[in-house]
Amino acid sequence: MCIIDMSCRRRGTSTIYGVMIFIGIMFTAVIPMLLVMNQADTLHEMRKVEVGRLDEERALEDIYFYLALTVVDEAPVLTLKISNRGELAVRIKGVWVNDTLRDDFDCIIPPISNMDLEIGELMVPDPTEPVIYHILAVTDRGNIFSPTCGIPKYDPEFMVWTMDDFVILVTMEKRMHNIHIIVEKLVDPPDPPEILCDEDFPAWFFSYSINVPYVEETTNYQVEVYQFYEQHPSLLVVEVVSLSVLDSSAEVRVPA
Amino acid sequence: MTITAKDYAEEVVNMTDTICERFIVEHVNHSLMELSVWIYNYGDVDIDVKITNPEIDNDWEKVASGELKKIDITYAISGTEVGINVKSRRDNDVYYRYVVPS
Repeated sequence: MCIIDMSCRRRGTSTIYGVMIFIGIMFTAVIPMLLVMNQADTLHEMRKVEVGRLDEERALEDIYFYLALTVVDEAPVLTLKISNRGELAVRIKGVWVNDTLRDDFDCIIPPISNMDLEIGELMVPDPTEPVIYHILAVTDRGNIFSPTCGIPKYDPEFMVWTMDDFVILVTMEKRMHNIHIIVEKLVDPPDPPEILCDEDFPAWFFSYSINVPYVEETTNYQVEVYQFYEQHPSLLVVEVVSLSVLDSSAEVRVPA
Repeated sequence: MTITAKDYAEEVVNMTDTICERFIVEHVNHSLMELSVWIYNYGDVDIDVKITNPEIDNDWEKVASGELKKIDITYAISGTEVGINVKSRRDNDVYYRYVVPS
């Protein structure tokens, strides 16, 4: 009996020691490990949410821009007219003009607002060769936008800058001849008028498209179409059409 | 045990960095024997990138967060377009189709 009692007491003591050792291991190793793992998982989840939000913001960037070329001291100066239609502020970090990056500006466009960004003078490497300018705007969220109004080109033959995406189409309802078309840009003030087309079409023809160099915002054009009978002009149609950066073509139909 | 926890945490941090990597090919141009690729890292972590086209031999290049890095490689372009595949050391890929200007 005495031996059994001693054994039970020893067993009880061992159990207590065992539990204490187990609790010691739990507190010194397992719980810190679980805490570190849990902290790492929390950090991972937080970064995942943060990255998801950044991706969402990137997808929400919504800007459009068009180009305005003005000639200052015979040098073409390029201005980007940027409109931010999104709900987030957009920072333009750089503008590529062909292979040249222009980033010496800090342009932050607040949501639902417009801004003009002057890029500076466009260089014509060889004035005898036609040059096409590919222009791209890059935001700091990694989006790349191209202009909505086409690509500016330098035409050395006429020494003019054009963006041939803007077109007024004059269409006859049937083939006609001895036609004269006048297209005039309506400017404010109206003097001097800018005539884009003043041309005779003696042969039979059906339609004619007039390229407009470039437009800013919304520009109105007056289109007059005459037909000559024995040298006397007869007005067939006079119509005012609008071109804008979002609507780059217009049609004038001439009734038969 | 502590080593295991540390390893686990490091592994999770690496995994987090992998999912946080964001980069684009912003611009490409070429001359007679050279191809230039601009890579923009718009993510929060620094990255190492490499162009992995089989015919192109180049080393890893470090691109810091927010940096635009130009990588020049010796490469003679044949044809009208080149597909450029950029890989990061953490195994993220970006593909860019460069249409050779006529």
